[in-house]
Amino acid sequence: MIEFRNLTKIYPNGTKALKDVNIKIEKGEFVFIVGASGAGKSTLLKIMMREEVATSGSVIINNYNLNAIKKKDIPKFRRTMGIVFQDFRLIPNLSAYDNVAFAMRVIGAKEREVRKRVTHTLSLVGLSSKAKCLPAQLSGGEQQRVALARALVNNADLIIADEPTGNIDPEMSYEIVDLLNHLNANGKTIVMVTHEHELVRRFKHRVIVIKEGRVVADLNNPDELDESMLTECVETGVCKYFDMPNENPDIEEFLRSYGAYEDSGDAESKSSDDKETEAEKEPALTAEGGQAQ
Amino acid sequence: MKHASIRYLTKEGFRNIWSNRLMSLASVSVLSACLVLLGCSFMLFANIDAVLGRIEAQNVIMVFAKDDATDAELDELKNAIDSTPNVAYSEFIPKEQAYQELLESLGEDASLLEGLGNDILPDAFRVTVSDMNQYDNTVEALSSLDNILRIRRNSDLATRLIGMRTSIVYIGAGIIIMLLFVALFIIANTVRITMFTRRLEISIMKAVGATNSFIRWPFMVEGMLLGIISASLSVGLVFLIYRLAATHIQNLIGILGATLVPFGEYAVMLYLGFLAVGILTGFFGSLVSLGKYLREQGSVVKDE
Repeated sequence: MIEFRNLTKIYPNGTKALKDVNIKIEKGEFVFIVGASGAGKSTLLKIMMREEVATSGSVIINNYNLNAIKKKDIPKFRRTMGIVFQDFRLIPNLSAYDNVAFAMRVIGAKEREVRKRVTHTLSLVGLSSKAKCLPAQLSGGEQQRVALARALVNNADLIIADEPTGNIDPEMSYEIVDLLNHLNANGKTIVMVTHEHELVRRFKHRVIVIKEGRVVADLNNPDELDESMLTECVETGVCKYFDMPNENPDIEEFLRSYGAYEDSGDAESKSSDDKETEAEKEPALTAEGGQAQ
Repeated sequence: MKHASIRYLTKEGFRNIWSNRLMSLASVSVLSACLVLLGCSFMLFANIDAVLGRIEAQNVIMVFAKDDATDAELDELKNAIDSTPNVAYSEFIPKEQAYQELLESLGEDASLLEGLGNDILPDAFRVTVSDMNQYDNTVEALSSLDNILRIRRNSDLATRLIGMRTSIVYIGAGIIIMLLFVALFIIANTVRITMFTRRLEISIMKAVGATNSFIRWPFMVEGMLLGIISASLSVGLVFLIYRLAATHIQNLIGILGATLVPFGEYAVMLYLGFLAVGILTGFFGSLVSLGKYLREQGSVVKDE
């Protein structure tokens, strides 16, 4: 479904955004792409949407070779995917219904078909009762669900979500990812970019970590990431997965900020010596992700 | 494009005008202001042209016949005058009529002519030319005819009129072309601002895979519609301004022996012209601005 081979992207100003990236995502997968800001996630998404073209290497998505795709075929290619943005991108003067219908109408769908699909999709995201509401009358989570409905309404098999939980509170975030999870269970391929480690740990899916334009980890289980991350960071004193000054001596403190130590509420109130002991005893994460599922 | 799509997109164009009413109002105001300026200039030049035309029409050549010319020779002369190139028409003025006209023009001083017979003036032809530029050539051609006593010409006035008219045409055309460019420039910018305020819609359209023609159509319908609204509004405004101005300049024009050109005579032409300018600028303004916007932003899906 998605394949990046030796993908490199250098912007005209000389910035090397992606370096020799190799990723293969199969149909029906749910993949988190994580990394700090400036790591290259956005460039990767732009290339996936054919907003940017790779400098070298090849990109094949839904059987379209994006390096060789003709301009007139780009709209057709984009219809094969649904995109969810961090800032929802809903048209403020259109109701939830019309925002979803907009995606169908602008590709020339018949009104009867629009009615059928939009009603169905809104019920799928649990917003049937709010179809007539304007975006401003909806909560952040609800707005993102409308955006998700818009991404789904054209029946694309691939959903690309660009930090869909970035603008909503944690409770709602879980709801959104839960919804994506549900869609994935129904056969959709989901690629979600996020920097919320908590979500990644809670919903156990494949995780691709990007740092400074390179894929530094591609793991099938977020626990694996946390385990290896922690071990590696403690051993080397350097964490390559997230933004952290290399010279930062308090690696535990940093990892704790990512929630690496579960049930550490007690630990926080303890002295630093106690914390050390606690970390030695239980260096990895507990099974919170498991509980969530 | 499918029929249903065209209907939807056209409806969208109409809806967009209302949804973006502030920008629509701005566009209509700008376009109307330009069209009203254009219309007022046009009416001004139409009036100047009419006054000049009137003066020109009065600018005749007087051809006096020899006293001893017989009636047959006078008939022959009239035919010769009429067949001279650039003569629009000629009117025979017998000496008696000329005498009466002289008496009338002298008014109270007519007594000066008492005791003189009514045949002191020669028979004459009042000749009107078609093209003032050929005035001198026509006078020359008439001079070569038989039985002519002399020819009274007023080439100074003729030359001045020709000069004036040519200048008016150039100035008028220049001002109107300049205004057209100003209108185009302002409209293109207004449309660009409209596009900018609607970039969210455009980016969503592109993200969900709308083709460029689908994106353009509602904007073009909107542009044309704004053009039609502006044209209709402008014709009404020009009419009102003209009527207001007429009450003030009627007297001035009257001194020149002319009357104001009636607005009705030009209304249809003006409206059609406005419609053409409005629709074309709306259509091409949208097309060019959107094209430029789409090209500049590439395939915008998100702007960070």
